[in-house]
Parts: sequence; C-alpha cells; structure tokens
Amino acid sequence: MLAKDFLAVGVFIIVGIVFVAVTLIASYLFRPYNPSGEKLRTYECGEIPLGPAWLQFRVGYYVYALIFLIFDVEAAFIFPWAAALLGFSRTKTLAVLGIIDMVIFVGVLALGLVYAWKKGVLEWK
Amino acid sequence: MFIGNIKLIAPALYLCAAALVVLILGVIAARKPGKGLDYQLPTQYLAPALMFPGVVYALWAVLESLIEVCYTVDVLIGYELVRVPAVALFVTRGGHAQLTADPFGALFTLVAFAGTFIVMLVSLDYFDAAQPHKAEYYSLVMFATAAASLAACASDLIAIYLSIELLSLASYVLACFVKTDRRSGEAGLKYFLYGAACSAVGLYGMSILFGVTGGHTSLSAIARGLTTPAAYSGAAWVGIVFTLVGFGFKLALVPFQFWAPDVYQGAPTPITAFLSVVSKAAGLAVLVRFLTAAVFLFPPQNFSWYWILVVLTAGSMFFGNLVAIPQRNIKRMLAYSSIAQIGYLMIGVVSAVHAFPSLERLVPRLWNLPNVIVRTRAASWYYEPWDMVGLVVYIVAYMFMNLGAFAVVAGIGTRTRSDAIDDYAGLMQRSPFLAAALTVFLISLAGVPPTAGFVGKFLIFGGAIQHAGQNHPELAVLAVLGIINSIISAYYYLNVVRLMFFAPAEDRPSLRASLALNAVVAICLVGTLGLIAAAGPVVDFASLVVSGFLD
Amino acid sequence: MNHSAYGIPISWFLTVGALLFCIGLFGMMVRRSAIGMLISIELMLNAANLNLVAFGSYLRQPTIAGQVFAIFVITLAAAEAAIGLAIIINIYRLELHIEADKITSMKL
Repeated sequence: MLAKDFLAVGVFIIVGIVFVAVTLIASYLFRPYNPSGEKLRTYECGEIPLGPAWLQFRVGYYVYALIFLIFDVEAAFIFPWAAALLGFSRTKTLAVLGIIDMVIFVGVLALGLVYAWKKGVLEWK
Repeated sequence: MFIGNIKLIAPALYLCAAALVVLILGVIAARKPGKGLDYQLPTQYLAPALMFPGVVYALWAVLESLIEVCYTVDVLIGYELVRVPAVALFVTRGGHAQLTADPFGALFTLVAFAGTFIVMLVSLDYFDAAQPHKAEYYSLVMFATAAASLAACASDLIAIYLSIELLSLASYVLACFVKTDRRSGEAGLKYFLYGAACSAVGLYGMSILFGVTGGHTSLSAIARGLTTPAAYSGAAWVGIVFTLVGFGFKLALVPFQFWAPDVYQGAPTPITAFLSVVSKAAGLAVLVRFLTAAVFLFPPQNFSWYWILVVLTAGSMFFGNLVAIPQRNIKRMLAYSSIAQIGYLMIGVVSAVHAFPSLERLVPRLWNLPNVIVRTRAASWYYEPWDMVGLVVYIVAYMFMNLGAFAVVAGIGTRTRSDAIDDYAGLMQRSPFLAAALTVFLISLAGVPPTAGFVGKFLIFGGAIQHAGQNHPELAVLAVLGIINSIISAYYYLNVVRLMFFAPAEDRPSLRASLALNAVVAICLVGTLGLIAAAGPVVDFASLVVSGFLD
Repeated sequence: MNHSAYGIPISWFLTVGALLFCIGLFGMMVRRSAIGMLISIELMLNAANLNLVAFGSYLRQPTIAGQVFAIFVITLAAAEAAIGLAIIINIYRLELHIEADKITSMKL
C-alpha cells in the first residue's frame, strides 16, 4: 500500500534526475567551447553588476519585513475563524461573540499599525 | 465553549488595555517634545497611575475568587451538561477549563501586579526623564505582568505556552532595553537565545505529552491520560521532563541557571528586579499547577521525575549560595542568591505535590472528569493547611525583600554609578536610611527571625518536615539542607552589611534618595517587617487561598 | 499506531520531528553565530509543530487541538524571530559581530 502511494513520487524523482543529467551531458557533448569576457559575466543579458552581492541592506527593509510578517501571521487566525464562524451561525450569541472577538483581535493589530505609522516606520526615508 | 466568570481575570485584561493606552499615548506624545500630551501626562507617572488600580483590582479578584471557588455552575457544552467550578474559565467540551481563576492564581496575580507596581516606582527613580522609549518600556512591563497573571491561571498547555512566551518575549526586549549599553545588549542576547531554546525544548515536551495522553491540551485531561498504560511509556517520561526544562529555565533552577548571572547583571536594575520576582512567580505558579494538576494527580509507578526535582532543589540551594560567596558585583551576587531562593521555594513545591497522596481523597476534586460530578462546598477543602501555605507566604515575603534589595541597589547604582560590593563600604554614613533598609532586606533573605523571610522559611521547612513524617524522608533531608544553606547564605549577606556599617567610608558625599525611591523602600520595609506581626492572619489567609486551589 | 488513509504510519512523522529536533538542538550547541542559533531554535519549534499536527490527526479520536496549538506556535515563532533579529541587530551595532560565545563583557 505504502509502496504504491509513493510509486509516483519515486518515478517523478527518477525522471527528474535522468532528464537533468541527459540535458547537461548532451549540451556538454555538443556545445562549442569559446569563452569571452562578455559571456562570463553574471548576467549574460548585458546588465553589468556593480560591486559584490554581499552588501549591507538598509535596515528599513527589515522593518518592512517585520510589519509584513505581523499582518501575514494574522491571516493564519482569520481563515480558521471564518471557517468556524460558519458553524456558529446557528447560534446567534456565539456568532456575535465570534465577531466581537475578531474585532478586538484586528483592533489590537490596527493599534500596532498605528504605532508603526506614528513611529515613522512606514515612510521610506 | 463556555466562557465563565470572566471578571475573575479582568485584572489581566485591564492591564493589557492599559498597556495599549500607554503605548499609543506615548507614541502620540513623542511627536511634541517639551509640550503637549507628553508634558501633561508623562509616561513614567501615567503607567504607575494606571497600575495602581490594577493592584487594587487584583486584590479584589483574590477575595472574589475565594467566594467563587465554593460555587459550581452547570454549563451546556454541545449536548453535554457539565458541572464546573465557578472559577473555571473558557470551558471546552468535556468540561476542561483553559484558565482557572482560583485563589491560588489570583494570589500570584496579585504578587505579579504589586511587584510590577514597585518595579515601576524603582524605574521612576532609575531612568532619568530624558530616557527615550519610555512608553515602550512601561507598556512592555505591563504586557509582561498581564502575561504573568494569565500564566498563574493557565490550566491548559496552549494557555501555559502562550502566556509564558508572552512574558518571555517582553522580558527579552526589556533586558536589552538600554540600547547603548553593551552589557544590557549582551544580557538581552543571552536571555533570548537560552530562553527561546529552552522554551522550544519545553514545547517539544508538550507536543509529546499531547500525543501520549490522547490529544488533550487541558491539564485535567492530561492527568486522566496519564493514568492509561501510555503513562508508563518512556515517551510520557520524556514529555514531562522536557516540559519541566521549559519551566526550569523561567525559574533558573540549577542546570538551567547559566543565563541568570549575566542577564541579572547586564539588564537595567528595575528589570533585574522584575525578572527575579514577577517572572519567577509566574514560572512557579505554572510549575505548581502543572505538577499538581497533571503529573502528580495520579502518580504513576515511574516516579523518577519527582527525584529529579528533589535533586534539582538541593542543587539550586547549594550552587546559588556557594557561588554567591566570591561575587564582587552586588547584582551578580543577588542573581546567585535568587537561584538559591528558588531552591527554598522548590522545597515548598516538592512538599506541595504530596497534597494528593491517595485516589480516595482525590475523587471530589475531579470536577472535570465526566461522570464524576461530586463537588460540594465542603469538597473544596481538601488541602492540609501546611501543604502549600509556606510556598504562598514565602513568595509574598520574597517579593517584598527581593524587590526591596533591588530597589536599594538600583538607587545606589544610579547615584554612585557602580554596582561593586566594595563601593558599599561606609554606606551607613552616606545614606543611613538606605543602608538600614538594605540590611533588613538582606537579613530577611538570609531568614533571620524578625523578618518576612524567616516566616516564609519557617513555614516551608516546617511543612516539609511535617510531610517527612508521612513516609517522605527526603523532605526532611531537604529541610535540613535548606537550614544549612540559610547559614551559608548569611555569610555573604552579612558581609555586605558588615561593609556598610563597619568599613570606613572613603570620604564620599552623602546620597540623596528621591521621593519614589524612599517610597518604594518604605513599602518593601513595611512588607518585610510587617509580615511577622501579621503572621497569624497571613497564615490563615494563605491556607484559605491554598484550600481553594484547583486543577 | 494506527494508519490513516494516507498509508503512512505516524512513526514516520514522529521520526522526522525527532530528527528535526535533534538537528536543532545540535545546531544550538555547535553554532557560534547568533543567527545560526536562531535558525536552530526555529527547527526545534517546527519539530514540535510536526508532532502536534501528526498526533492531532492520527490519534484514535482525531482532534483539531493539535492544529490549533500549531497555529499559535507558528505565530509565536514569527514574533520570536522578529524580536530575536532586533536583539541581534542591536548587538551587532554594539559589538560589530554576532558571535554569541565571544560576547563576554561580564565576569565575576
């Protein structure tokens, strides 16, 4: 039973490896070898890279990511809540209670946003 | 789901709201330096002003929960009618409560609230008016306190994990609050790394417990799950021990104490005080509830974690006291001393788990096991008074004496710019009040008679020895070790006192204490010295609180 | 342990969880960089998550509680990562490196 379930996965893995190997070997066998400075650049399309890739990013990105994270994780609670609220719709008090709960939850998050806004985090200086 | 008497946790909800108000007001005010809202409502006054009603509210909640614990309510959950105590909150199917606002939880809430109020007054003296991010500081302290309060009531793994984590996350930030200070930054980093790792281990333990006991998160359901053959498996053992690692970190019990000295020394002194009292009180409440409600409710044959606890208790006392002796920095010394203090408190915990020696006595307490709905007014009085009274009294005494000691250390630290013990030489001449107060707090920590520390230790050791008679000789050993450790600790506590009184002052100016500092020290002095005068009523009250302790 | 409709025994999930946890714990011990330690902590949290979700759906009476617990843990892990990174940035500003074992400004 188990083997049958994973048969597709196994076949997929083998096909993937074979496909990549065949392509790479074939191109190695058939391609002409003629390097030049232009061709060895990072971006063959013509974009000329400036400086190393390991540079310091602005800390502003980090704060943006943080605020995104907070509102991203919020969704993890809102989806189950929405699904559960459907089941509550038969009992009116529970439904109202559920909506009040979510209003408080989103309200607190909104206060967090107000805080970030007032701190000037959302402005790109 | 049945929500229950939500006003019993209203102090925590009030505090969360107050913290949000402080945070938002502080941010709005920060835009107008020198005038406007910040001028009329400075955060450092607003926060204690909002905190004080919280303390009164928490006191009311203790009294209210003492009344409520005697009553039960019938609730319909789904199609099931369950009878639960009136202090059970957020009751789910099967009658399992997520929070239990019993007198025990309410009392630890009160300790957390009162402790935080004192910490706020210390902060008022410690940080100068120009300190940036005051609103964040005070709101984080308030969030942490609310979390400590919820932790004291949590009777469900999810509730325990969330409240302890909220407390921890706020504490990590507070430990490195002084952003320009390298030591504070180091304290924050170490606290965070070790804390997060230990809580992850604890969570892994909880996930195993969750599975082994049949997919339950409520402590009362876990207790039932642990009666099945699963409880005898190694998995349950691993789950419980890992979970205890998470709690042990919060308490700085001995193998998990490595963070304490650096964090206590590096963090701003009011935060050190907060960590040593409020955070530990929350950890202690959770530990007691976890042990008594889940693990020890039906002690399985495999009792080895009890012996682990016994060994850790003795280890904490000896390690803390012996390593405290050579310390040159008073905050570091108090850090080791608080490791030892947790050892004394753990004697109370280890004796408390014997509050439930036999199944027959338990039956009336099993209010949330289906079909066992036999809970009457009389049935809630199932504790022997000595079981946990010592623990409850000692945590109150510990709050007063430890916060008092840290208040004096914070006050002297801001004025002399030094936390070295050597700089306490001749303090008597420079500031007689602070020197005398610190003496009282230190001899109370050592457990010398006319102080609160003595009352607490007397009750804890007395309780342990009384239990030792019931075929638990290890408790007598622990009590004796506790007494030996009190004598060891007197050496380094009294060394500071000797320096203050008998070492010559190097002709330094006298120190002027602010009103806030004097007030804090006076409050803690009254608590430390008053507890013995009020010992009789306090013990009665504590036994009342303890007898209402529910799982 | 019983098998679910997927045909994979629960022990597989638990083994993966235990391996993740051990990798995390091992990383916590050998890593010197604070970021590396933070990643190790996240591994340990996810090991617990895997346990919770697996137990929740494989037990004799499947329960939603495991998933609920896991969602809370995910949220807390996010908050923990945010605070941890902020603390690490702060330490980088002060020390100009994040080697956790080389930060020892306090002794005795």
